[in-house]
This record gives sequence, structure tokens and C-alpha cells, in this order.
Amino acid sequence: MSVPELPAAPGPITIPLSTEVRKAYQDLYDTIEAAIETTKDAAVLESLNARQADVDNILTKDDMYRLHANTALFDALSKQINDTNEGLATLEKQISSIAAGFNEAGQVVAAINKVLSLVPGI
Amino acid sequence: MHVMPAEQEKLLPATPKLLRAGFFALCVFLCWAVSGCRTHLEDSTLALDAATAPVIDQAADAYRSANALHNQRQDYDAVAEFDAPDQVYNPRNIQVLLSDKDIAARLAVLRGFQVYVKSLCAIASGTNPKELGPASVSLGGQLTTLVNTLVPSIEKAAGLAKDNAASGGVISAETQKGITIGLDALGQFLIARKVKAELPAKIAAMDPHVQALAALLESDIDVLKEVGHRDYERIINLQTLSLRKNNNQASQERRKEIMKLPDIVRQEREAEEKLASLRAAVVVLAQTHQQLAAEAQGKNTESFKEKLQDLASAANNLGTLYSSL
Repeated sequence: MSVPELPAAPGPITIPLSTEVRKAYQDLYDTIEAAIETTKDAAVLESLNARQADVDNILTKDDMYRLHANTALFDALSKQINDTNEGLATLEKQISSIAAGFNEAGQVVAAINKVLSLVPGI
Repeated sequence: MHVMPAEQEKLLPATPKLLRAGFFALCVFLCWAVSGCRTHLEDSTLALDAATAPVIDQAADAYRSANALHNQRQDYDAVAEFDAPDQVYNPRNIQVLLSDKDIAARLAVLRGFQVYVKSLCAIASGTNPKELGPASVSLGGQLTTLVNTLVPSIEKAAGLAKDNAASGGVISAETQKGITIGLDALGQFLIARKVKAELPAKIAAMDPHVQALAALLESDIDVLKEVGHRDYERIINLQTLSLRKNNNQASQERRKEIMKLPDIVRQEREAEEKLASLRAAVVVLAQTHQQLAAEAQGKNTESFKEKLQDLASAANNLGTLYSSL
């Protein structure tokens, strides 16, 4: 059994791939995969696997480029989220201080009560 | 100062009753208004917390699994390439799908987002902090003691002394309870007013970042799904090729190797389901935050803002009541 006719690989590549070029490579990959899944011949399988690995390598490089580009965006987001968290921490402290204010007021009134109890006749 | 005893006798019984009734009504209203707004905000915040948990848990797992799978695929590649006649296999050329730095950047953002959600929960539930109740009880008790000590002295000085001890003091236990409830409601109101003034703007400002985070996570998931699919295909194809080429393998050994094939497919399906589930969780997370932002800004019918506007009116009433005392 001979290696089936496969579409030619798209022209010279630049990573990141454009949408059209990526789709062309993906279609080529799928065509090779379909051929692999319908053959039992070891020699043909070996040839198809080698060609598919080349296409896969290009698609994987493009995927890795996209993941690394996302890493830079994640880094930028991290700073913005941390800034918001600092603002929320300040707000939390302000809210706690309101409850603490009631406690302090209770202590002041208790101190006045003590003075009144020590000074008879007021 | 000269006080007409007859007038004083007329006003005293009626005024406290009126004030007490008004104060009690205001307390009830404040409690209702505060608890109403707290329920909406807390519900939305808790929903966001619930939506965040699966994303945090599954995303870290997804990144590590994708790396592990890609490594496994490269192990299969190594076997195939090692004996290839037209190339010299060099293990130093292996690729890392996501470096430690790449994963750390993603986990740092997810941890930062988790802190954000926990802070929102703390602030939303903080409209009724646990310290406020005891502080209100203590302040109410101290005020009662003060009034019960001070008023008889003033009455005595003004020649109006009467037997308050028989009626349990100027402020009764029932009124003291009302004061405590009122103080608690006032504390909650002050906190809710603070939250209303600052939190909606912070949540609204955060929303574009959350949507950007969701878009990034979805983009990552799409890439991981594609790479993962091809990694599994490659593993299956190389395993199949190995079996086709070595058909003189011992029967028992060959059976074991063949049985690995359906197991690899099962693993692939499970991994794809996990990624689909993670993607759905990210979408829910983005929507939940958007709803929270709308809730906090009062874009919903029963909105957080409306409840706090009710509170602002209550504050005016409270001010009027206090100035009339």
C-alpha cells in the first residue's frame, strides 16, 4: 500500500500563524490523521506519522506562542488585581474601626459612670 | 433655671412613650433596611465565591495535567525518534509546554482573584461584624447606667425628685433593650453607608479585569484543549505504529500493549470533559461578577443602591429624632 496523496503544506511560516494559515495546517493535520486511522500498513503508518509530526510541530509552536503571550497578559492582570485588593483591605479596616468606635464609646461612658459613682451628690 | 413643676408632670409621661415608640419604629426600619441590603449583597458575593472555587481548583490542575501529558507525549516521541534512520535523537531538544514561570504567573492571578473574592465576602458580611453586637450591648448598658445615675441627681437638684427605684430607674430594662437594638442598627447603618460609598465603585472598576481574566483563561483552555488532543493522538498513533511494526511480540506482552489503546482514549475523553467543565465554570464566574457589579451599582430592580437610599432617608429621620431629644 502506498502513501495516500496529501495536500501540500502551506508556504513559508511565521509564528504566530495567521488564522488562515493555521486553519490550513489544521486541515492538513486532520487529513493525515484520517489516513492514519484507516491503515494497518506499518510502512505507510510510519510515513504518515512522520508527516503529521512535522505539521503538529508547527501547530504546537503556534500554541506555545499563544500561551506565552497570555503569560504576559496574566502578569499585567496580576498587578491590577493586587491594587484592587489593597483598596479592599483599607475598606475592611475602616469598617472594623466603626465597630471599634462603638466599643470605645462604651468605654468612655463607663469611665463617666465611674466618676459619677465616686463623686456622691452629683 | 426655673422649671414649672406642673408642666413637667404633664410632659414627662407622654414624651418618653412617644420617643420610645418612634425610636422602636426606627430601629425596626433600620434593622429591616440594613438586613435587606445585606442579603442582596451577601447573596451575590457568596454566589461569586461559589463560582470562583471550581475555577481556582480546576485551573491549577488543568495546567499541571497539560504539562504532564505533553511530557508523556515527548517520551513516546523519544522512542520513535531514537531508532529513526534519518536523524540523531537528542533529548536536550525537548519542549516545555508551560514553564514554571508561565504556571506561576497564572496561579498568582488566580490567587489574587481569590483574595479579592474573600475580601468582598468579608466586607459584605462585615455590614454586621461580630464585634458590633457586644459593643452595642455594652454601650447601651453604660448609657442606661449613666442616665439612671444622672437624671435622679438633676431631678434632685431641680427639686423634682421622685421614687424612680420603684419603677426600675429612669430607663427600664425594656427601654435599655431598645437602645441596644437601636445602637446595633445605627452601627450597621454606618457600616452599610461606608460600603455603599466605596464598594460599588471598586467592584465596577474590577469588572473589566475579571472579564479580561475570564477571556485569558478561556483562551488558555482552548489552546490546552488543542495541544492535549494532538498529544493524545500522537501517543495513540505511536503506540499503534509500535504494535504494527512489532507483530512478532510475545502474545501476552502484545495483549497488554494493545489494551493500553482504549485506556488512552478514555483518559483523553476524561481530560476533555474536565477542560469543558473548567471553561463552563469560567463563563459562570465572569457572569456572576457582572451580576454582582450590576447589583452593587443598583442596576437590578431590588438593588443594593435602592436599599442604601432607603438607609439614607432613615439617617435623616434618625438625625431629626436625635435633634428632637
